[in-house]
Amino acid sequence: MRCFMLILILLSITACDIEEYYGADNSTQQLVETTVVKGNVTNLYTGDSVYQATVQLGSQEALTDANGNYFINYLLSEDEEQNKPTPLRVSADNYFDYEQNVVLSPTINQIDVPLKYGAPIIEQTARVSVPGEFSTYTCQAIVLDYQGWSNIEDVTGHFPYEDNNGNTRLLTQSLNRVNVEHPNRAYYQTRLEYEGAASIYFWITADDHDGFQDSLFHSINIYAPDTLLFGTQ
Amino acid sequence: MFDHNCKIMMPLPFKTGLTIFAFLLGLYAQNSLYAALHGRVIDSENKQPLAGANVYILDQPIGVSTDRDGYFHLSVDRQQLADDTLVVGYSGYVTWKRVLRQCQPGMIIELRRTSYTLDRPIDIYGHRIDLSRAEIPHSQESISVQQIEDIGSVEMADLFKRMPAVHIEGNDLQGRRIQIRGSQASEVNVYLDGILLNNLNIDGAADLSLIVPDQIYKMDVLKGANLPLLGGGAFGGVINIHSRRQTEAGLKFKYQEGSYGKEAYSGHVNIPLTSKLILNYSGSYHQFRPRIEYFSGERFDDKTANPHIFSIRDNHQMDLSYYTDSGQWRLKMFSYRLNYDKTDWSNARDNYLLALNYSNKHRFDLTISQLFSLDRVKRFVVESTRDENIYSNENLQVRAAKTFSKNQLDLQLVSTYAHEALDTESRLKDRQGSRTYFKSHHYDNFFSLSSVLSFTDRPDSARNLWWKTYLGARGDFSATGYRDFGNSLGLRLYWQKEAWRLEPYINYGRNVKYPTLLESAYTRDMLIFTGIDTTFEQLEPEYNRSYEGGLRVYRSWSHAMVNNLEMQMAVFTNTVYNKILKRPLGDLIVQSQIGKNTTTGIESSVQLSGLDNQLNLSLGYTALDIENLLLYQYKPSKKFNLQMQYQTPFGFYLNGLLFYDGKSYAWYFDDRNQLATNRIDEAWDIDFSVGYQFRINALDVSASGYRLNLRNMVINARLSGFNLLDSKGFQDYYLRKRSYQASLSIRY
Repeated sequence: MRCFMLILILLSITACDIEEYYGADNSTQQLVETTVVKGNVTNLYTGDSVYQATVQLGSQEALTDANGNYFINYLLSEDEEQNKPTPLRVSADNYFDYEQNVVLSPTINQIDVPLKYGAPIIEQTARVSVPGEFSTYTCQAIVLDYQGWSNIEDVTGHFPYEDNNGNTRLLTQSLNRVNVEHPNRAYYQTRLEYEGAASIYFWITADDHDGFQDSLFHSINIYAPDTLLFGTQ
Repeated sequence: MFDHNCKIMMPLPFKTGLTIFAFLLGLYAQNSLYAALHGRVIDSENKQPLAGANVYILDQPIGVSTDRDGYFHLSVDRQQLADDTLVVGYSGYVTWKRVLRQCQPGMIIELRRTSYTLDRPIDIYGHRIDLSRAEIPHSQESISVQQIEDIGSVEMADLFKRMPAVHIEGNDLQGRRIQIRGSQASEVNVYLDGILLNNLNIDGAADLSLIVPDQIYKMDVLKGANLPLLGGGAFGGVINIHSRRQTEAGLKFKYQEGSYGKEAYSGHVNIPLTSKLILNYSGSYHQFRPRIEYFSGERFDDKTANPHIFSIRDNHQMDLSYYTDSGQWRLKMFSYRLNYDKTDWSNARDNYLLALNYSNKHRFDLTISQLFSLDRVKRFVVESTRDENIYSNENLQVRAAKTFSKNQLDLQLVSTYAHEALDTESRLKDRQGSRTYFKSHHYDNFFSLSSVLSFTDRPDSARNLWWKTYLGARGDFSATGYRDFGNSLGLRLYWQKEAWRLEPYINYGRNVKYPTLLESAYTRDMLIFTGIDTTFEQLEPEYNRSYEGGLRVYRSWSHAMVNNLEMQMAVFTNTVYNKILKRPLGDLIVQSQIGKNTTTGIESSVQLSGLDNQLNLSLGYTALDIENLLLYQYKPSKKFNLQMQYQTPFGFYLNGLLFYDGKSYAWYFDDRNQLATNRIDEAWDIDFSVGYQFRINALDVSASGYRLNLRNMVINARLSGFNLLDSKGFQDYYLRKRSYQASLSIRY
């Protein structure tokens, strides 16, 4: 009987991993709870990728590449492992900031961010001389704003010219809205009277109520002068 | 007190009337739990009284000396201590021992001189090993079953509020954790019937929610960093809990309801299966809706509200005790479960414990215990994908203790073997199925041997003065290669004159704490900076060196209201080396082990109690000076409390507790990894409870067809309010929120 018991004990000892009861093992592959957060930043209206957008996740920061992709190795805090949301903030020039609280998964997180383009876009501009009147032009511009044409605060033209003494001067003049074709697109026009010789180039700036600005530089090809973008003289 | 049973044999209409009458009569019976045990000690030969004989309960802090005529009067809870041993000792005489169950009030104890070598009758006596009594002198507090009844809370945390230098932190999810003298929660060892509970949690901090106050018989709080027997790795102190072991049949049920959807049921049953085999069961169920998130980063004003959190805790404990002539066996089974649910996140924690304990009259005690804990966190980030984190912890402990006593010399030996294993697994479950993306297995083995040698000595000239010198030694070994030796010294002086007793003491010692499995595992993957080396393979153990000096004063009066005064004071300094400091650095955690901290402090308490605990007043004060707040955060620098308990002879009682936590500071790394400071303001608060407790001492009702025997039935109704001033709100931990609670308990 005793012998049987001894065999039983010996068997039970060999059955379990005896080394575990006197040795130690602390080896691991990876214990740090870092999670990968990646995604793509795009323009909400056009679907184009946004280059060099700043992606800020908690205390970590990254910039998007030319394809709009970003990649962050993020260390989850104790609270974030309990589903506490992490603030995500994406910002880029001419775009509205994107802010969202995200609950991060401990493995891989794909967070694609569509950014709202905030600035007005001057699509086209043209300057056409008024027939029969010396140094008088009509300047036209088509401005797009995704937040609606009413969001466009001011469209201004900047027109360099040479006065009678040979000095270069700048004529700054607001363009007036003349027509609305689309909820987002508006047509602007003004009549220019230079007190000297008009330069072949000018630029237009557009400001909106959100504080964004766009500008478009335009130079006139004297061999193929501008034609009116809309309307008649 | 009623000792006889009232037998009623009458026609039915009279019966009911009399039953009610007898019931009411029972209400006016005494409500004292403490029965007085009195007797006389005489010499067996000449029947002369023996004055100054020591009458005490073995391994319990209860004892008196006989008066001039050999009489003694000991107020003990005979029901609770039924299987403890009453000891009568007198120098030159054979020590008399008998189990308390067999002791009758008014008995005459005859002591035999040692020169007599008669065949002594064999005494059956219960032995309860109490290592906290054998430890080197420290500041110590005890909570007895009576005090637990008086505070009447479901939460362990409320029991500690009146104690100086003890602070509770945590919440429902993390558990209630205890800090002593500004220590971290992982630096306090918590034992339940000799089983270390710290290893149930991966960070090594014991969760006090595991234990329901109703199942405690006695709890010792030992403060200090150099306790060789129980305090291996405990830089704060030790909590030693003994659970109830009633030998008589008994039943208790308690229902509690309170704010925040709190509902709790608890109870215990004692069934003597035979005269030698006794079954004790205690259990509890507790549900709670905290309404806020327990994000530890949000300690201050910014607690996130969440009405959908629901937590359930339940707890079962079963003890089977078998008494033989030579010793006793005890099988213990314990389970604790926590379910914490919120939207898309849940945590289920299961803890199991199985232990076998054997102790005998040769003062040998062996405990083998197996602990198992499973901690599962389920997360849904995307609805279809479930992420699961599983920690399973396994722990085998074998502890053998033996006491040797010879003349004035006592030697307590304790050897412990512990096997720890930790498995972690992370799984992702989605439409494609379940897959494991991380898995690890760690294990380690520890062995320790500790001893305390104490020597009692007294001068020949002064009979009322003696002292006890303590020498402690402790060796710790781990399979990872740590080898450490710690020693401690202590001296306690006893001086007694008339109603005064003075006990000054000093101690010094060293202690060591080994890194937890998880901490060691982290070192493999992370950058470690130490003072000398930039990277290295293994963590250093944490070392501690501490000094303490203190004084205990007892004074008793014959007055009924002011019967007993107990004063305690201690000054201590505690230095820790090699503390691990974690800081996030981008997507890395940097662990540096350069932490050194010195905590210096003073604690004092005064306790005034009346006879039969009718009036109880206690006052406590603590002041701490923590050098390094980066390592020891949010420890109140000052604590003050005033407690008053008043019990009328009719069963009505009143408890009030006023407490103050001073400012506490922390340095921490914020979201941007910058070092920042935060402060929790000082706060005053009040706990208050009123209740009515009545006892039916003896009532035997026989009505037609059935027989009801009501004996010693105690009914207790109570209304309590905690943190009435609500001074901390959600700013600190949830423990500080105002809450009300009503409870009803029936004990039979």
